Amino acid sequence: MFKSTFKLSFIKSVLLLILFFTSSILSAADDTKKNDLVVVNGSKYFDSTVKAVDMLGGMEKFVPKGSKVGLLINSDFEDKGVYVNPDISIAVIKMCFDAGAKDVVFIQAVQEEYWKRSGIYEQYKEMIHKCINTEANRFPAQFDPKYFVKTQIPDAISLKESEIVKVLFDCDVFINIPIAKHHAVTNLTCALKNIMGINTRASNVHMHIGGKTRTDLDWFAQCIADLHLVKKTDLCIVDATEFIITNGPSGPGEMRKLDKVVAGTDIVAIDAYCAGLLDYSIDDVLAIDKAYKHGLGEKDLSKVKIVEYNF
Amino acid sequence: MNFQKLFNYIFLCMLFFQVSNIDFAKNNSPDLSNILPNALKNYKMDGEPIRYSGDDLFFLIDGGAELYLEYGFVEVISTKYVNAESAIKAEIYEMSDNTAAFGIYTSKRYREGSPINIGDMGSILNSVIIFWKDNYLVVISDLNDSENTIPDVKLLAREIESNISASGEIPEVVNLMPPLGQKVNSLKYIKGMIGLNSAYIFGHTDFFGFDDCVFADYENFTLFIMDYSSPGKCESGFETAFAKFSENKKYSGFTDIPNGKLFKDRNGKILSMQIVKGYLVLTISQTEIDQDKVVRSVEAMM
Repeated sequence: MFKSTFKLSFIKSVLLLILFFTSSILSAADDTKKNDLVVVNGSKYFDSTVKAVDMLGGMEKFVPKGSKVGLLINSDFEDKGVYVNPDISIAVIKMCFDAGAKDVVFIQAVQEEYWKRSGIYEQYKEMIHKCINTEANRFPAQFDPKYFVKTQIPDAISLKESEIVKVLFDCDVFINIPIAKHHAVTNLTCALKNIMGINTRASNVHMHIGGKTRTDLDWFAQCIADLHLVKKTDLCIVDATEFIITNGPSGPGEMRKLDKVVAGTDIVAIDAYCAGLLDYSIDDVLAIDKAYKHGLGEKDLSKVKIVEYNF
Repeated sequence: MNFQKLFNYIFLCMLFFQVSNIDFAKNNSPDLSNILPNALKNYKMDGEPIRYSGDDLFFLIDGGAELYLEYGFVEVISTKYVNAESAIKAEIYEMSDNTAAFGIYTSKRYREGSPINIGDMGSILNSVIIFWKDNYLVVISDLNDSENTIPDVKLLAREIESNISASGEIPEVVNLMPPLGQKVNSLKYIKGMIGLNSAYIFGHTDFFGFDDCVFADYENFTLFIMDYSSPGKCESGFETAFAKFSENKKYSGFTDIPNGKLFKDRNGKILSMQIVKGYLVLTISQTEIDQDKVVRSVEAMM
């Protein structure tokens, strides 16, 4: 009798334990499904970038050994607060190579002057020059079938076809590196809009003025969201350290200094978060909702796990 | 000479005068390459200047071309003057008229800029000079942002200015903005929604329907004056705007005020919208302000 009672309670305990561990595992799995977004505050932007990627699990999580990594850096401007601080880009390149990347490619051409604006340029010059620069995709990029391909976007609502730089499709990993800043037309330009760097200029002009009316903001925002259907962003690292809040996107404009590096894999959540850094609501940036409706990420920040770190 | 011949003769004479007038008008507006000096002190021009007109502006400006086009953009010329140490960039934008040039100037100048006696209204911040004159917006900047180059930036700005003979006129609606308490360099003259959204995001479609508009920041509010071609169009613009605000969940707490409405946005900002002598006067403030006083100060300018 005692034995059978003991057996029964033992089995019950084992079952309860199994149930407990299973639910823990399931909840942990659920936790990783959350659209994590990390924000690192600090004035040393190289260190902030490394920390941000570490908080996401390290670059090894995104970059398999021997892979080809494509970086889309918003670098092609001359005024401060308008381009990504080069220390951030250098940190990303270093992490990619350290993780075992075979090649690091700049999907949109980056000028040498850009790197020279960094105080750590000399230290990393050799590493930067190891990267492949896509010269054919330099503003204002023209269509050349050797370097660009007319790409159909079947699930697109507005942008059914675009001329896209071929190298993007050769990359195993796609890392989007925008700066969060003001844009006269879209209000915010950040992770979502930065994707226009994969296009020829003609395709971008079509996005700007190809709508029903001369300035069709709805069309433009839809095109931006559509273009993301071409290639999923594997990792996004945003420069929100110092940026313009007026006269965007080319500046010069009024500056806001927040010393933040924002990183994550959910480009919709990233833009929703960064919109707030410029005092915009999610509704003020039309592309956020369009991208959300495409299933590209979460726009409701209350559903996003945001982790901050202060240096 | 029969009637038909006489008619043809008169017609040809009229055509000739018409063509002459067109040429004369064109000559009044100097070619952009003539405004740009060929060299500057110990600098030389870095290759041929780049020129773009109309929608091709998108091929010069990597984002933001729409704002120029909204004002009325004609053509731009851009070049760099270089020597061993420095590179100075010069851009001259030819706009459709004085008001367009003034407008884009107000949108592009720095808030923190200091006045400089160049052009119709020059502004300098660090090594960047922006000014407008006649139909032109001129932007001169040292690409290395070095203090040592500022005298050269000024020299180039003055040389360009001297090549533009005519001056520009400030749009009439701008003179309605009360000067007292107005924050320096905050005034912007705009012609459409893109310019308007740089101050406050009202929406994504152009529902006010104004011809032109001016706004500026004051101590605790921003004041907008929207100009319409007729009082009827102003009333229509008011009605359409109010209907849009009413159906937008972003806004609430609508109350009547003399000739207008008062309401709040979801961030707690207070918006007032009133018709004042055929103009739509709008204020945005974080706290309650004396609306009557604002309206009186605008009326005093009329």
